[in-house]
Amino acid sequence: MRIEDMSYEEAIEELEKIIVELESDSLSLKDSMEKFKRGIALYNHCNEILSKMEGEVKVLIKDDNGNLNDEDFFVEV
Amino acid sequence: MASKPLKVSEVNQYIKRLFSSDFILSDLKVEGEISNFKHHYSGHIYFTLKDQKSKINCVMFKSYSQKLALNVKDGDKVIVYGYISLYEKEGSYQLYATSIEKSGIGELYDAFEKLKLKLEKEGLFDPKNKKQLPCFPKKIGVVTSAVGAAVKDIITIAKRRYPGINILIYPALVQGVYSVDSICEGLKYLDNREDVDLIIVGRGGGSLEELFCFNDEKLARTIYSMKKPVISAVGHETDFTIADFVADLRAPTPSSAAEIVTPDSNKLMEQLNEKLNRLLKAINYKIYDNASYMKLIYNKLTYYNPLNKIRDMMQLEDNLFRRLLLSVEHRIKYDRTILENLYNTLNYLNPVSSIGRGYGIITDLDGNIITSVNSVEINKELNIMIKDGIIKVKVVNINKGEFNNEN
Repeated sequence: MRIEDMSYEEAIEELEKIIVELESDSLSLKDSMEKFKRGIALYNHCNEILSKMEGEVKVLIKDDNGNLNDEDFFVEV
Repeated sequence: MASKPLKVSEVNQYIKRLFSSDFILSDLKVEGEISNFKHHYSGHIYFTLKDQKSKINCVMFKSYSQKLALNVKDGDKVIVYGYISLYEKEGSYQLYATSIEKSGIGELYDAFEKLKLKLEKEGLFDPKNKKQLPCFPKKIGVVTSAVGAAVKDIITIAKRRYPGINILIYPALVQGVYSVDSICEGLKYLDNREDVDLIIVGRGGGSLEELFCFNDEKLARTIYSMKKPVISAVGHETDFTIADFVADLRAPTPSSAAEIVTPDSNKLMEQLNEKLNRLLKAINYKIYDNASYMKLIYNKLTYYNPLNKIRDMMQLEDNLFRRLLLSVEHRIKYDRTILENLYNTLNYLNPVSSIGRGYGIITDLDGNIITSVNSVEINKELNIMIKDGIIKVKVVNINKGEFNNEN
């Protein structure tokens, strides 16, 4: 799976798996370096998600036909 | 300076303004006993609230009396919520009631206890039916009033903790006769939205009556039937409602509900960095481990270098050679000594050396040594070898017998 397409949970889960593998000392040096590289990429991805992500706040408003629509919600904070 | 006289209405207006700007009078609750209770056809309620010493006139307008979930009659001990204002026409002040609740253990509390017991028996509060909250909700649904502190608190806190969170608000009525239906509709709507991970239902603090829709049986059953996790967040920490018992989790306040459902991004960042450290540590260890293994191999290689063996063998060879040399020298020395001894002995036994001391060797002419008188006869020629030559002699006489030194 491409790292860019991963959710935070997926990325953090794989990162944890890689760390455990590296710590368990069962990999060759070459494999270790490959895993390490991917681990760093996963870390960067998670870091980006945490620091750049901006969620939306919406409120449900009934239109004339009685259907509910998501609309931006503004609140003074 | 004498001021201009005021009109009566101006005085009353002024007093009214004073009342409404007063911190206490503009929002208070008053405890007392109801008397002169009148339900006017206009829908307004008029009554007097009294204690042992005094009394106060009260009015409750239709808009509030409609929401009154309580039957009030003369003699009831109640707490009235409202504000003091002036009835300008009469110039009399009154308590404008917005809600009434029974003081002490009232009907509401009885109803609450009864319903709680009933639902508990049915298993609506059973912990095994409670759903697990997702660790990383993408979108949280909120059923509450779109105005007021509760929704503001939820948004502020959720956003502060986890800026990536999405929030979808279902604006619901949270008090009054329509509130239960409104909240239930909101819950069902959000439960059917694919993108909502969990739902917070609640409102800010209020009187027991105001919170009473959260003690409704229909709402309780709606919450119980939900597919998605529901967090109740009603009023203050001390307020417990039926909704709290049925919900998958009770948050003491709307703020804490927001706190509970959102992961703390600072903490997540900390955990993420901790993972990075572990990753670096693991790879460093790996590299160090391999490096020290290499060092070990290098040491072994050096140790088992054939050059060392050759050097050892050369040394051994040198030693052997030295020992060989020594032993040969020794042997030669020893042999030489023996030879010298033999030579000395031989020399000592050499008859020729005796000749030097005055002895001679007698032989016949054929060179046979004469050792007995029996091997000679008269006139036999003999040779006598002495130190510096040979004397040829002739036997003139023979005396047999032992050689006598005195003869």
